[in-house]
Amino acid sequence: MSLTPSPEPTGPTAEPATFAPSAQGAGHAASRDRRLALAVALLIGFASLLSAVVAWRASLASIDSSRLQSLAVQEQAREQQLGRELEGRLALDERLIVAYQEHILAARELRAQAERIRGTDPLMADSLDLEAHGQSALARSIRPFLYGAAWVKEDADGSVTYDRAAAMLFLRDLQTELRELQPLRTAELAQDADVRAINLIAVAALIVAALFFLTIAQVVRTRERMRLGFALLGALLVLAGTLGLVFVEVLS
Amino acid sequence: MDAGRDRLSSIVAVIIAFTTLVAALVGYLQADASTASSDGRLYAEQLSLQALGSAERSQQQAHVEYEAYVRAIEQQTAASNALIRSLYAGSIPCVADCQDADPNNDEERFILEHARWQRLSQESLRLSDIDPEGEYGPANDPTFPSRYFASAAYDSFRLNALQDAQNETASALDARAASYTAILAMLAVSLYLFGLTLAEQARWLRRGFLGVGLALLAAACGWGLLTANSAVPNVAEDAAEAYARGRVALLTAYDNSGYAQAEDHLDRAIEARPTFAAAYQWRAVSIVLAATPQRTGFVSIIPDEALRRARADLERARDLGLETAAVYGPLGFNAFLQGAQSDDAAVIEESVALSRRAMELDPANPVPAFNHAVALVALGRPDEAQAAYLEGVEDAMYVDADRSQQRDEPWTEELWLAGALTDLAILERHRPELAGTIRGFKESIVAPISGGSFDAPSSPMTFGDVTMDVRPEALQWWGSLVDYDPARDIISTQWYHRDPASQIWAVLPEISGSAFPPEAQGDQHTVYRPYLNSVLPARCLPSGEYRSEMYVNGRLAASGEFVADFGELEAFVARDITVGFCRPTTWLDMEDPHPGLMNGARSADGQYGAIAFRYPFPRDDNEDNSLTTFIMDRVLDTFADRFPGAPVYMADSGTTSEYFLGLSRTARRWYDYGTGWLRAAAGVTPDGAVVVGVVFGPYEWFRDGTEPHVILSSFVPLE
Repeated sequence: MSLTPSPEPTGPTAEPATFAPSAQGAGHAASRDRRLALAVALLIGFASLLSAVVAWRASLASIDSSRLQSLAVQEQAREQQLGRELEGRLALDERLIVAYQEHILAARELRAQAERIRGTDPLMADSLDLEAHGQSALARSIRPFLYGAAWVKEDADGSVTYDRAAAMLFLRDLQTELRELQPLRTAELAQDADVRAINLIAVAALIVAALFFLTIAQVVRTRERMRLGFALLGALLVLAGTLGLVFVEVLS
Repeated sequence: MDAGRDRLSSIVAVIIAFTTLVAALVGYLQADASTASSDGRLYAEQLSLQALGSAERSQQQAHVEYEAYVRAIEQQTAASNALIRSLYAGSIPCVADCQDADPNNDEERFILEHARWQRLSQESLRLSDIDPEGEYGPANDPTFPSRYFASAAYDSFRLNALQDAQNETASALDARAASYTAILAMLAVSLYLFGLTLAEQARWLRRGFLGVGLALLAAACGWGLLTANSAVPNVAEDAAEAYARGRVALLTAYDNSGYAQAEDHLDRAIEARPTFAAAYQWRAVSIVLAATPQRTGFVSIIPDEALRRARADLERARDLGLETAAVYGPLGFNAFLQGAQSDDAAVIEESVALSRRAMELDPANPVPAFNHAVALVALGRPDEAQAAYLEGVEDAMYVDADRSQQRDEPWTEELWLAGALTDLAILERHRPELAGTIRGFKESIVAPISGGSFDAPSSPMTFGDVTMDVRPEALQWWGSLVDYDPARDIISTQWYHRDPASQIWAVLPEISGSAFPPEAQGDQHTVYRPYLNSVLPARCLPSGEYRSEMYVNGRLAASGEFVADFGELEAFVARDITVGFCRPTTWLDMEDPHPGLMNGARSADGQYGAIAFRYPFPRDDNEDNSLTTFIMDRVLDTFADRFPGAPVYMADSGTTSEYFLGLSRTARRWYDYGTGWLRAAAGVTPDGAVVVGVVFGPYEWFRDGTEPHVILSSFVPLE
């Protein structure tokens, strides 16, 4: 470090004497230089704060993305849970319907047999009639336990059909939560948040680059054109970063 | 000057070192918060998968137990079948054209078979954890097995609640990590500015950079301290348990006390975790269901206090981040109710916005669309209301967004229509001057939903003298229909009951609609809608005011009101015998029924009662009611021990043949058992069984009132 300090760079006296302008010109140059320094300093301050804001927003977007990714997995699990509960209900019905149908068909068959032999063996026919009643009673004992009994129909041939689709539609109509769960949409939102985070990081990179050029403009004092060039480049990058931030946060 | 610059540089160097230290510390905290947050999210995901597994496991287990129980009931029925066979005692009972004894019908064999099936049934019941008399058993759950299945879901509710808590904790940690990131960015900027301070020559700029850098450093330190001291909610196990109990109670409740119990549990959940959004949402549901007089359909009648509390809970749930249709929908409707009651247009405007949001969140649901529409009617914006009603009607009628596949579910569609009509009735109650407009809107929504089409033809049909009748088990109207063409005219009857407290007419959806066209009986037409077996759990209608509105192709063609007073009765259902009836609330179910053969209810002292029998019989081709009376006598003789005394037929009163359960070859008789009378009615089912219904009690019960007759006429078929 020199023992003789250079004069304070406070104005035109700092400029090389050879090219010293007139007193009036030197005053203008000093004033311009001061204004430029102030402008660059303000730009540095603005870009610094902007970079902090952008970093914070990028962090939030990144957190949002991971939160939504996790939520998409949880929503999918919940959707599965609710869906399987409904499916389970219908599957239970279908298992009970097997036994139900067995009794219905047995009763029908017994009655048919009774009719066939009534002329020749009325006592046996009566006995078969009673058995048929017993089978009908067994079918009736099961029916109250069918959750979707309203969708159970007995066809003319005695077979039993279960309108599973209608039963499921009814159950789903009552399930607001199931309708609201949209794991794919949530995953898309997570992806959007990811893209936003990446875009914000790109904006941050622009602003950091702007800071780099503005810093050079601030510290270079000997070459005015070069200084001005760096300042302009920095200012353009700050502008681009600001517009980028507005675009990413507001317009996209 | 130089010394000053050196001193400043030294100070800046120290500040830089300090800032670096703070940045390192914040970096550590940021990493810690991020890790904890991702751990929390991961744990929440694990819990969601655990809940999925738990729900499936418990459901499967419950189904196994349930199937064992159903098997036991089936075996009990088989035992009853054997008992019935043994009652024939070696021969088919002789009614007419008597035949020889059946050598194959061995009483002893059937008695043994009866005992065998009973034993099997007991063993099967032992295999199931369903206790018929237990808390979740059929004796205590009129909606069995819903309580039993809901109780099996307890663990998955608890895990879902823990998952929710874990997400909340992770979100708080995320917010903390985001704050630390911002703080780190501020520290980086301040470090940069301190660097510039060292590099800059101009004093004013140096001081400027230093000042801004210090300000940022101070702000970062302050924010860091605040963030480090901010609370992160703990995952409260007890809140999750109380929530799960509340959800189960809510699912299993069927009366006000049940819903109040659910509310208590949810109170405790909220106390343990005041930021539990879902608990607020479900507490709002409990509050409304505990307070409303409506027990079927969508709830529209909500007393003021409950409305205020439910709305506060829903708003809290929304403010805590639960932005779902299940929150916005009721919020919108509650705002409409409050606005209509207080005639406050601003609150109704709020309702419009809330319902609109619910429509966006759940676009296929007609309920928020109808809520939106009624609020617009209240605001005097008929064109917008018409458009909203159209949207609701289309949501109700079609299952898909492009309106190409009809729902074709009359019951479900009527449920939504009834809710919309009740809401219009509420508006009419508070704004009678809108009656004409409201009628127009009613017609505009009844027409397409009843007819399944937007192009209902106009009809000249009118009603002649229409009579309405309300009984505890059913509602009906009959009258002459002028210019009625069944191929063209769709008659939709909307039955209303007036809530005595609020004086609001509410549609009874289960028995309303166009699914049951009038039946011709001579020159009269009748619409008979049994209520008892149309609602779940089965119920009898309360005494009070009733109204019917009859729409012909959407046009309100007739309406009438009726006041019913038949005391307070509750439903008894014997699905195995295919009979239900209304009985006094103090009576108890029989402790010793024979499934498929005999079931009923009696007063605690056994002096009053009503019993149904189903007695199978071989084919009998007689056209008269001799078989009916024969079986009537026989069952009363066989089961004489179920009455206070042995019933003896009162031949003087004779046998009449009045309507009973829609059966053929009906018969009614009086019996005397020494201390009271027994009134029996019977008929033959299409498959040849004889169903007998009896009501018995002391002489004065029959002499002094109408109750025994109301009970006997309340018998309805359940097939």
